[in-house]
Amino acid sequence: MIPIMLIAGATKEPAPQKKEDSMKITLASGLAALFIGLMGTGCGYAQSAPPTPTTKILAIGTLNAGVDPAAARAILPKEVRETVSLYLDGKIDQWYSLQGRPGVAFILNVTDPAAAHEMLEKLPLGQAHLMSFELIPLAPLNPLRQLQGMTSGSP
Amino acid sequence: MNVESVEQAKTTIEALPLVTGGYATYDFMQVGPLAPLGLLLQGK
Repeated sequence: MIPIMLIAGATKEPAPQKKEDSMKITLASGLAALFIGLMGTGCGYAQSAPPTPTTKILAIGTLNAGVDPAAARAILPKEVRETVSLYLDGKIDQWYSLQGRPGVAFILNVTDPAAAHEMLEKLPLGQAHLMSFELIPLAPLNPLRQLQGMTSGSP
Repeated sequence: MNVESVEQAKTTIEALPLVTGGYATYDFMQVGPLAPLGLLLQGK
């Protein structure tokens, strides 16, 4: 059993004939958007749906381009200790390694991207300019409002 | 997702209506236990 993190994004136009192109195993990219974003822009109901608050931040950390892996390894023991410290402070909810390449994926108990950025930049690999994080704010799955009985006036 | 493989995840997600309709795409990012934590184990 392997854990897989999913990020859904809206396509600009429906493209039912290109299913093979619509599913890609890729690294998180600028093209990725949250499911909540899809429903916020693509469906009429969302225009009147109450907003949902940011409750977590997905942080994907990868080594910067051109970084010598040996330099990162030398700092790793300190990075690990400080990461554990963040966990013990309740700042990290879940932590994973990326498979097949150096990097991590954290789900943070932080709601402000600026605060998350500041916190992660203070880690040793960030201080050494060896690792950068992509931050993706997460919110409760807003389309669940579509469930029967969730709309006002429903029996 | 807790699945056996990326292919299994893709098969599952591809069946969702927004995907089959071409309205949504998913990025699949395979992850595992935070490997550097092994450094904390004695003798590593």
